Amino acid sequence: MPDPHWHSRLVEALHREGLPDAYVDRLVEELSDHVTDFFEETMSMDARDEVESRLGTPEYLAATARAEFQRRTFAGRHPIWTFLAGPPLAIVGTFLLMLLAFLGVYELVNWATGGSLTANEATHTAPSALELALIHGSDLAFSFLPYALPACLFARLARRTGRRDWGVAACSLLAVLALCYWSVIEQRPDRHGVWIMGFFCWPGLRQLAQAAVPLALAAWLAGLPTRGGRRLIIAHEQG
Amino acid sequence: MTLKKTNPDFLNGVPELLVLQLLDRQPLHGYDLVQAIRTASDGRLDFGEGCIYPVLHRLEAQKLLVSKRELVAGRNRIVYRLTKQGQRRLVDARAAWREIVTAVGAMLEGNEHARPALA
Repeated sequence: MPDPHWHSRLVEALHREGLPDAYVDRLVEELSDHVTDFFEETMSMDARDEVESRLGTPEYLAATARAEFQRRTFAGRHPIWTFLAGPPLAIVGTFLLMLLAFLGVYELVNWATGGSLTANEATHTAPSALELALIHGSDLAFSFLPYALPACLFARLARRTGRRDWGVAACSLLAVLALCYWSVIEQRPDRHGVWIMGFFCWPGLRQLAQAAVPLALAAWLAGLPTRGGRRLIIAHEQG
Repeated sequence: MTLKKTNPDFLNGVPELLVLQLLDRQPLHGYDLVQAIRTASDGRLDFGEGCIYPVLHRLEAQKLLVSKRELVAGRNRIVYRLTKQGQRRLVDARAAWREIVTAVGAMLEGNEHARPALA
């Protein structure tokens, strides 16, 4: 049976390094087995005191575990490329995919309504309610999803790779870019509608709303303790 | 010389090389692996034994090893085995290590070209 003090220090140190719970559980299980083997082999009363010198201090083990864990994946080994260069690329990628989806939905609606959308456009007829709903719905989607979806992706990646700090950086970067995006839909006197979008650093209420999801995820990553960390906090509070 | 400009695995790669080499001979669980390293090196390689597990987990994540729970001597153990990919990595790691040893050996033999010109 491992020394309970050493065991709890190890668990605490591993959680402090921001490692995922499943990884911590497995590592602790194997290290506990190792300690049991060591006790069985030595059969000495002093064995308990030697655990730390044989296995390493909990802090040293946790630092090693974090370094090795981060070497496992590209994101762990190259956080600058992943979490700083990745977000702008992810926005462009999401935007292009959404554009394709929008064109697909537009064609589908046009086909389902017997070509009414293209007919309105050709005859300069005022847009139908369906067309307006499609355009305004898409405008909302284009304003939020290219920032919210990559933010979720990078937050998840940061947790899985033990790179929470970099996840905060990625979500903050996405929030800044979301603050700069604006779009406007105008109905001109000739009944032609225009949909303009661009980047300009003049945030308004809508831009703040666009940045809300990435900002919330950044705050969550920065402050949320892991499951094991929560257990430790509760145990500490209870005495 | 075919060495790269830098050798990031110069020291980091040592535990990996030892683990791959020993698992190439037979499947082992963590404790046996540590004892095997100690025995094979006549106790000269001394390190924090706990550090072997993060290395094993990384190698498994990189698909160089596979692990399986097995009953060994009446206890449920996680036993590690080398994969084909791990065997290929071992061949490369051995070659890289021999190149480093040769290069360092040449330095230690102290040929004149290695001395600073200002001396």
